[in-house]
Amino acid sequence: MIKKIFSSDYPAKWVGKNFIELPWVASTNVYATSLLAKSKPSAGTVISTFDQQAGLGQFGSKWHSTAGKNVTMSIIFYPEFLEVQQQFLLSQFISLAVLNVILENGIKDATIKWPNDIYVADRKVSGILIQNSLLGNKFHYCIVGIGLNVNQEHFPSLLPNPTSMKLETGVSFDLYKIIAQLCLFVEREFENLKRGETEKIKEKYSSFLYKKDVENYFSNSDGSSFSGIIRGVNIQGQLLIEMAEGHLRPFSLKEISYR
Amino acid sequence: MTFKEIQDLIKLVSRTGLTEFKMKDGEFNVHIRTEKYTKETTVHSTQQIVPVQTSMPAVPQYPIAATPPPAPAPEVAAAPPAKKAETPAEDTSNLLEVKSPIVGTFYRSPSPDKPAYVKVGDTIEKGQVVCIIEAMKLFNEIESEVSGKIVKVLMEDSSPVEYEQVLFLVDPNG
Repeated sequence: MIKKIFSSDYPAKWVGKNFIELPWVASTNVYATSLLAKSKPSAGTVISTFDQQAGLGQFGSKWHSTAGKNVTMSIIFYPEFLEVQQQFLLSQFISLAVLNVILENGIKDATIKWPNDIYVADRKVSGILIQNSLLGNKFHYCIVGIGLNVNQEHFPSLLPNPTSMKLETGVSFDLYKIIAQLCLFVEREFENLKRGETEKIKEKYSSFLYKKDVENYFSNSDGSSFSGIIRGVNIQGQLLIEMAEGHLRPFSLKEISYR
Repeated sequence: MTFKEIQDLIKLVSRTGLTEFKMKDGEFNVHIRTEKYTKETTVHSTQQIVPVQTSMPAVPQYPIAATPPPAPAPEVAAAPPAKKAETPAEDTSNLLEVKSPIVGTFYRSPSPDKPAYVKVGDTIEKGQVVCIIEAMKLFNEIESEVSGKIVKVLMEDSSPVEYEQVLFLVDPNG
């Protein structure tokens, strides 16, 4: 099934060439880690399931996905050409690839909520979890986990603001086709990265930022609030906000939240 | 001074081969030390701490043996005195360092409910995961480049770390 889609409409060459489909799994990222512990899977190896039972979110939190409805997959990379200090580029290229899949399917109001969630209007449609392994100053490997809400219509009430591609469009999607699109767009963006088009990636990423170029209120880590305008990110991935006084100021993740 | 200007300044200083550069302008001050000075370069300003991205990664082959930790982190004080007993003679000259290759947040365990990857007294192998450094929601398992016995953990769980900050001291003969 997946092979047919790859060869025709979305011809990824190496991402997804080694395609591991699991009937169910606790977490595709954890599965990828254990695979890497005992072998060296080829670059672009995809681990996919339609029934991820204990998906990982950020540091101990969970990614919820109803069986049979969504895409939950992990991709293995070896970005040996990249300096480890430039790793935010990994977040950027994956965010762009997922965003492109959303746009490709006719959903226009998609943005990247810094640092790496994909939103449609004010709701989250996709989450990304990147787990690297570093040996000294080099990447040993990089596992990119992507959770994309495709056909799910009902979400647990504990999730703050979820949406899915079906909720946004009213139609159901072929999950294999979405996977094939993801593989192709991920591959293209990775090759841009490999060619050293880092400025282009940074600019594209910045241009799709959620709530960019409009005045917005933020909370500081000390609880105080201020207004500013999101203008982009710097090479470390810090969010650049134009302050009321007119200068750009970089913010790290823990220094700021949206209001 | 804008972030970009600071970046440019750092580039300029590293290109000229200076070892140290200080500048003060009202409340704002910048202090740059290059690798030649301490093998660790940081910029301090009243607004921000900027990790230095040297354009050419002239990063010394780490771990660097035999250099005592440059500026001991304030967290060191948290180490209970009992640990002294494990390292009777505080001779660190033969110890190896495990350093952070990136700026981020140091975590000793894979998630809050899990035990630490390593603790003082553990023997580690080259390639073994010793901690996680989280940077902008990217989670980095740090593999040790050395084998030996952990004699000191220099950073506390969940604390911010700088580029090249020493995280562990390892006794290769331990």
